[in-house]
Amino acid sequence: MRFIKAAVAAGLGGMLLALAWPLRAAEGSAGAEAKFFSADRRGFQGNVREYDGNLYNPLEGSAWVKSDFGNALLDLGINDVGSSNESGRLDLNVGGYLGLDSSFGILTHRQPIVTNGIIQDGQWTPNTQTKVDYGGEDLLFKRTEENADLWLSCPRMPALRLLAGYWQETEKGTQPLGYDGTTGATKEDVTSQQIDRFTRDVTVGAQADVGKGEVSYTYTARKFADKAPSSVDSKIAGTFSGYPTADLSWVSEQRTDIHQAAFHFPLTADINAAGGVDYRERVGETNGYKVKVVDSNLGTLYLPAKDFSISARLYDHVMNTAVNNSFAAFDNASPPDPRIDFYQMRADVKARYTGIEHVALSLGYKPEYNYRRNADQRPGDYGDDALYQDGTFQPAETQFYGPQTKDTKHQVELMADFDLPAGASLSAGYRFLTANRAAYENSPTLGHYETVAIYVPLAETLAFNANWDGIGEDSDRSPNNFKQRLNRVLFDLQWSRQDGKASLGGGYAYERGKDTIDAYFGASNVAFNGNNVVNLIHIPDSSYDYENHVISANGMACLPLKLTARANLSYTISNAHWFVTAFDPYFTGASVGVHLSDLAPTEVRITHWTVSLARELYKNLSARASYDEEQWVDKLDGSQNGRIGVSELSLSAKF
Amino acid sequence: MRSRTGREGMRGLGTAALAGALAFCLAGAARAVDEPTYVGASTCIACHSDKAEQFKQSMHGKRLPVVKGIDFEKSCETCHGPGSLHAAAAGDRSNPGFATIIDPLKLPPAEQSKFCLNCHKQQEVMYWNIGPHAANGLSCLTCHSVHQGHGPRNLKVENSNEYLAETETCLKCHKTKKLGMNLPSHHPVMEGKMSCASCHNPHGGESGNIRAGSVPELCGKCHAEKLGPFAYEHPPVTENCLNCHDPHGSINDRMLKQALPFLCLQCHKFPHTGTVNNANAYTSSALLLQRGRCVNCHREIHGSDRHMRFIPH
Repeated sequence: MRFIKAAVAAGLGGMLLALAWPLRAAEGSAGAEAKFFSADRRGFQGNVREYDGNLYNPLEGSAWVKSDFGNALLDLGINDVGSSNESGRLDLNVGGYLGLDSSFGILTHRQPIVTNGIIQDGQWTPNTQTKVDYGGEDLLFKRTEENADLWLSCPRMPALRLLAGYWQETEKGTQPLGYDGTTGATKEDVTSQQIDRFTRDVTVGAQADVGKGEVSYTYTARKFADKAPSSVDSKIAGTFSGYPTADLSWVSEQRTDIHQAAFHFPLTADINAAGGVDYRERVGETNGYKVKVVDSNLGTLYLPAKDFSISARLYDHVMNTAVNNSFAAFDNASPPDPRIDFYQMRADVKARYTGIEHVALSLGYKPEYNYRRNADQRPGDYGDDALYQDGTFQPAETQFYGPQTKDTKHQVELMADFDLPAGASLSAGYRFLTANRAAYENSPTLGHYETVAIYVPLAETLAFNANWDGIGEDSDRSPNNFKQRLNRVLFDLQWSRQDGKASLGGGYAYERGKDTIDAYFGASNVAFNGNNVVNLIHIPDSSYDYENHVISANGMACLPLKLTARANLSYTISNAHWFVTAFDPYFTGASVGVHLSDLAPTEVRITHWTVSLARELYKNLSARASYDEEQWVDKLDGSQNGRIGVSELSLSAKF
Repeated sequence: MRSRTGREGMRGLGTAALAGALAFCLAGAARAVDEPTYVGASTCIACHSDKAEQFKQSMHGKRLPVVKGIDFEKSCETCHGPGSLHAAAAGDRSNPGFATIIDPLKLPPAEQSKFCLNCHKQQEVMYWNIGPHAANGLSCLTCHSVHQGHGPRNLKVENSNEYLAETETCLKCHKTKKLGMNLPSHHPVMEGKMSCASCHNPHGGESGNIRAGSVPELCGKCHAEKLGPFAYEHPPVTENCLNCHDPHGSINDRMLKQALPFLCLQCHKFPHTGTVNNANAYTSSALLLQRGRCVNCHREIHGSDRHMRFIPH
């Protein structure tokens, strides 16, 4: 409401301001829309339409006005007033000396508790959750984003522009939270947690023309506060000895100062240069820690000939944290590890040649150097010998999960675009990556990335697209031996009538991925010391397999009686598995004899379809009826299934 | 038989004709090297009335008079150059004057962009010339249209939702990204609450084409609660959010690349092995069910001020 009032005031103010200039005939347009909704909800609502919370009021409205007042332009609009997703916009230009670009938007996000399960003895077995003060599927939060950007230019100094901006984000509501149950080690409790976050940016700056180039500088003061109390703390405070309860009213606040400077300048007729620096200092106001982040870049584009270009860009990234030694973290028994300060330098060079008719070739090279100070001082070594039941032996101090201090990468990329006969085109690209070491266990030391895209106009109004992306990554960082394989293909066929009065299209996208590691369950084994045996499990080449299918279709037709019909459909199949067999003989206790086959199964089907019929009733007055349905089906956990169908009838008018 | 006077007369007539033809050719050559001059939009409308009407309704048509002080009469030739010779050619493509008009669509991409950048000097386009789109031979006119643009961004794609129009524009080339937007966990792009341009600057950004110098600073604008600084840090988090998340969409909750605990096991061994001879050793299926999601206990996984293992008890 605050923004709406401000927007109306600004709009009226702008109109009055514009009237001070000599008037020409004012031109403008306006419109309004009223929408009537009816929603039919079935089943569990936590997964369906997560981003509008599937909250619908019976009546919502929108209005907009655009006007040219001689020396001023106004564009004001407010959408979906009365809904959980209101938005608005105000653009104002006055005489080329003042510009205002502002907007606001609300998003209502519903997040259900995450459930997980495994497949044992061929049956899906969910984890048991005890609900404690849990709001169920009605846990949602509202995110409001508002921004306003203003620029000013003085007639006597047209080369100089002053900038000011304001942006804020507010998140309030509740979300689910799972935590270690207080009633025993094998339970998971689920409760609701409050969300109360606020982020605000205030920006001032200036931009100036310098010769044929420009320079700019902005300063942003950012504030963040998280004032939500943790309901979990109040439930379990005091249960675990040694943990103080002082954190019940924990508030996290940050303050960030951001300085950004950039320039762009044509050095010669053939060479353009640009670059900038982004310096920001972020202070944790509760713990007194300070982080400095400096990003700088410098680039150039050289066009020595009409059919040849070279671009080069250098990047530098520095992150340094200053520790506040006087801050005693709540877990006082364990002082923080040495901070890792991160430094990265990289470059991006590309040459492009179009001298061969119907062909464009490009060759690129990207080197990258990373340095992590203090990475070698952080714990990460497993200090005990480990003997696994399959005989794998890992000596002490040989398994290390921390990041590497240094690593260097090189990437080479080759792209080719071909114009084929009859308006068709083909693009193909290949990128090769090599690194001297894996920074993290899942970082690649060898990578292959391929892409192919083809476009074929089958007829004047019929076109076919096909795309394929392939990724293959390997990490030689023992002993986890991470690998990733991913393939994505997409097919698309679109037809439209020459006069645009009908169209029909469909597509299919498929993604198949496989991430592989040597999985180690357990890191120490006293059996090596001749004592008792603990069954530690090692699964070599353990893979997380997933595949996604998306089928889509769309259609539009202009019918007699001034009717326009539209329809859209998408159907998503998502499956994921972590197949295992090694657990079978190694269970103890009550689980003896249980055969596990899948540790992370997912099988979800999402259907979303929309149909609408619109008709122009009179000149500038039209009506529209639509039905939108989304359905979520979980093939493993039927309790997650839900559906919502929304019927809408709207009337819109233009003036 | 012709008289000598008649032959001389004929010769004189021929000479005169030759001189006249030569004069005509010279005059034609002189026309070809004449510099074109400005004629005004009212001349352009005579042949291009449809374009003129489109332009009048367009963003540029409405803003040029207000923002740049360029009236409609001067607007066509602001971009297309002086049109006197083109107009005089009256549609005759063999006339050398016909081609003197500037058609931006026929220029090389870099030249096309120069047109737009003469006026558009916002911070948004500061890095265009060194950005990835320019390096790959794209121009402003690949995505935007001056005459038939839609919405506040003058995009070729028409959609009443500004965010969806931006997304559809990007998906024309980056088609495979659409798949992730339909997966169970995704940013609200297909819902029209944000677009590709919310995170990426198609005109070139501080780092490649993202709207910040690094990924954590980009994500941290909206997700500031994950940034810290915290007393206990999780190094792969502070270095790059993409170590664990796929922001374009994922089958897993919170857009994680893999399900838990597989994601964590990529770097960490599954701990909680229990003690020796413990009948309820933690490798039981019961524990896997309850401990399968590491973040149930290690809830402050992005960093914590309260516990070194991110367990905020």
